[in-house]
Amino acid sequence: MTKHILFQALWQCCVLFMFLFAGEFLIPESDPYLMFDRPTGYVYPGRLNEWNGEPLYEKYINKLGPSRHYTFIFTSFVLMQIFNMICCRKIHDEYNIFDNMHKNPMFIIIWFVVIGGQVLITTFGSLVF
Amino acid sequence: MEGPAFYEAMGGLVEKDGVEKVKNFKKFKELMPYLKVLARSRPEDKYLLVTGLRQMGEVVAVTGDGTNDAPALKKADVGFAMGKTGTDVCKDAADILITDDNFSSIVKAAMWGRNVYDNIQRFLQFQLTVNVGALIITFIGSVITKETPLKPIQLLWVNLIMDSLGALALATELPKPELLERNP
Repeated sequence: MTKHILFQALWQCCVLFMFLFAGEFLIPESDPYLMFDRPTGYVYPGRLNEWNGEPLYEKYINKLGPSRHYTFIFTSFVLMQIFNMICCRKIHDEYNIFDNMHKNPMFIIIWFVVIGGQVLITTFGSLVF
Repeated sequence: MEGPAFYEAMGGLVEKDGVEKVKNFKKFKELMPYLKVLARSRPEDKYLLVTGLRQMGEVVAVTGDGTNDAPALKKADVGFAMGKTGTDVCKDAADILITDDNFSSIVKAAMWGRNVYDNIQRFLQFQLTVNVGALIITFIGSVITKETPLKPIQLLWVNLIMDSLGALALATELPKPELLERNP
């Protein structure tokens, strides 16, 4: 169990740190307006200040709310937990994590409810999330 | 084999450092693979049998209904007493009561017990993973960028997922027959 927890957490941290620190080179952005003064084709960084202290997203946060960059990180975090939930169904190192899943409708319903909820709050809860 | 003869052959119990042991343990070990029924056994014989089996490293379950089963029920890892026909003494000594006096309920009890234990483990694994992940990301992220990458309200949503919904999803798993194939 400890092995699963540690490596699953390590994996999540790796992915999220990659998006957090290198998001502006990795995550594509389609809306030209939201690229502001950085028309690179990638997402505008969500950090308030540049590493050297110059204002970065601080210029837009009052107008637009949280940046797309951080929403992306939040959503990837939640999605990783959702898939982790499927993996947690097996605790004795079985190979087939989907075994017996059809006999537990509650699990399937909750799984889709969480995904639906995540879509809803990121689409319509824009100022908060 | 008959109870008194069995007791005689094993030479009774000896107490060593507060732990009771079978005197002729070597003989006991030799006999065990062949012993199927112990007839006319007295309470001492039952008690000796349970003690010896536990000394061999086995996990022992005892079922009984009469007063004479009480010591063996107490000594065993799990004692099952009959709920309808059992005497009060043996009910007190037992860990689990079989209310419908049906032996197949023992199998069901083992299956459900393992299932509940597994469900708790599943939920713990999920919850600890989320907690460890969120903690590291929030802490290191805040230290380096001087702001929180995950906002408090976002973490509240994550908490909702893992506490209430995660518990509901992972702890409602039903037992399956394969659980019985595992060793105790």
